[in-house]
Amino acid sequence: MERLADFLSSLGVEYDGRNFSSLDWVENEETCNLLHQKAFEIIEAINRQKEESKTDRIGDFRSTFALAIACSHFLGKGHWEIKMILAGEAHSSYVSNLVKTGDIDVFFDHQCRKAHLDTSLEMHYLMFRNLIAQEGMTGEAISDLFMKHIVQTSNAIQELMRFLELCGRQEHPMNFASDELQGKMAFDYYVSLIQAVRGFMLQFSCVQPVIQVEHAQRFFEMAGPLITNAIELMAQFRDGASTSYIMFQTVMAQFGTFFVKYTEHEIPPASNFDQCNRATIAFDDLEPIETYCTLFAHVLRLMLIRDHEGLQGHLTQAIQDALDALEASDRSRHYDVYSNIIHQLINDEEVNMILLSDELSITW
Amino acid sequence: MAYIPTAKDLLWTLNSICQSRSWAVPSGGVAFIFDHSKFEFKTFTVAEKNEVQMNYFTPVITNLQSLGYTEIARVLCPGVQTTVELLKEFHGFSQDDIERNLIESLQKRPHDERFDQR
Repeated sequence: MERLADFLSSLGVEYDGRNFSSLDWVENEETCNLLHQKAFEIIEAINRQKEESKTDRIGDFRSTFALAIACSHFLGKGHWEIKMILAGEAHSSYVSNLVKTGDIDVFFDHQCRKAHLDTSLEMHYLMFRNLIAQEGMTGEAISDLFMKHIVQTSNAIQELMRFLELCGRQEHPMNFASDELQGKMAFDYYVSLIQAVRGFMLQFSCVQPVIQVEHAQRFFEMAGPLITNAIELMAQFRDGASTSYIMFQTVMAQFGTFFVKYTEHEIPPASNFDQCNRATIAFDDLEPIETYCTLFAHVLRLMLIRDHEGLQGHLTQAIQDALDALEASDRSRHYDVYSNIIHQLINDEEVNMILLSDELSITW
Repeated sequence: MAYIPTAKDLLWTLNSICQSRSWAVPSGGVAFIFDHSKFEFKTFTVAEKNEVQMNYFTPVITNLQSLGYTEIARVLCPGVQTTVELLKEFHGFSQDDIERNLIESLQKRPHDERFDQR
């Protein structure tokens, strides 16, 4: 039987434990079909082993993990099952092998853990959205369901915070094979945490029109300290890189505008506007992907101006800045969503908060 | 189902071991000697662990390995049944040493609410 590593290599799927050397294979339908088929074969083998109560683990956990991530690339949003099962199995196999052989790979361990947490956040949100999309769901039932959903989300955020703290610590660190790998892992958790916090706020905005007052109060009692703690932690691990800085300033801007909008916190709009500026226009010579990172803050900035009469004088410049950012941005990921929302805001159209949450609360 | 350490387990273990060269886990019937600069440890364990000791021993080792520490030697210490006996017989600890270490360890031990009920 062909080794999984050879199978992936023969299709041009080369994974270094964090990134693919190229994503050209995603464009090849036949390759994607073969990968999909292989994933199913492995999942069937795992299920058979479970039914027969065998404890044998898959042998090549690194390639299995690579296959899990590859499948998530071409299957896209809403297809979390394969990634969850294969990445989970790869991680269990790694730990079993670690106990048996002492073969340590802390970086791989944490890539698996991060994949699990990211996928859990996606899974919980999609399950929540699928449930509330069912016919006949009342506002009260949605509100109840949301409270259950945010408990799962806040647990995942706390777990991400612990892992960021663990992987990012400089004094008495874990044994990553190199400082470079430790830095990469801490950055990956940092990005996941920022994304999770962003999603947490977007998801509340999505259900806010139907949420019950006491539920909203409970949400803010829980979310306030959680987000504050997460931001304090992120501040410790923010490095000098532009993407890291932009993402941090953006989550700060979102936090400010979010709490002013939905609570009685009194932060002057000008202060929130300054924060949005720090996340959008305080840079020169950004790479396209770095400019992409500013798009969410441009959305926040335009929303803030629309909501506050006193900021209207900045509207023309903010529109121009947002259009310039769209022009200079990388066109991958959720570029089209950002472009649509920015144009809706420019045209003074209503922004669909459900769409915003669905598109931007899972991946950045 | 294999035990997979949580973030809390790993943080707690790292905070427990990072301050000193040795670490005794009475519930697991085991004591460890660390070389933190090399991420290595030696294990001294009671030779015949009871079920409770076994239940703690395996996860503790897994936690250390998950932090990236390599076990370079495992010494099964015959004729002892507890970690206290192990420290006395194989490491020359006196009763005073043990009590002093116990107090120090209780003072330094990282807090984890999961252990509050014990």
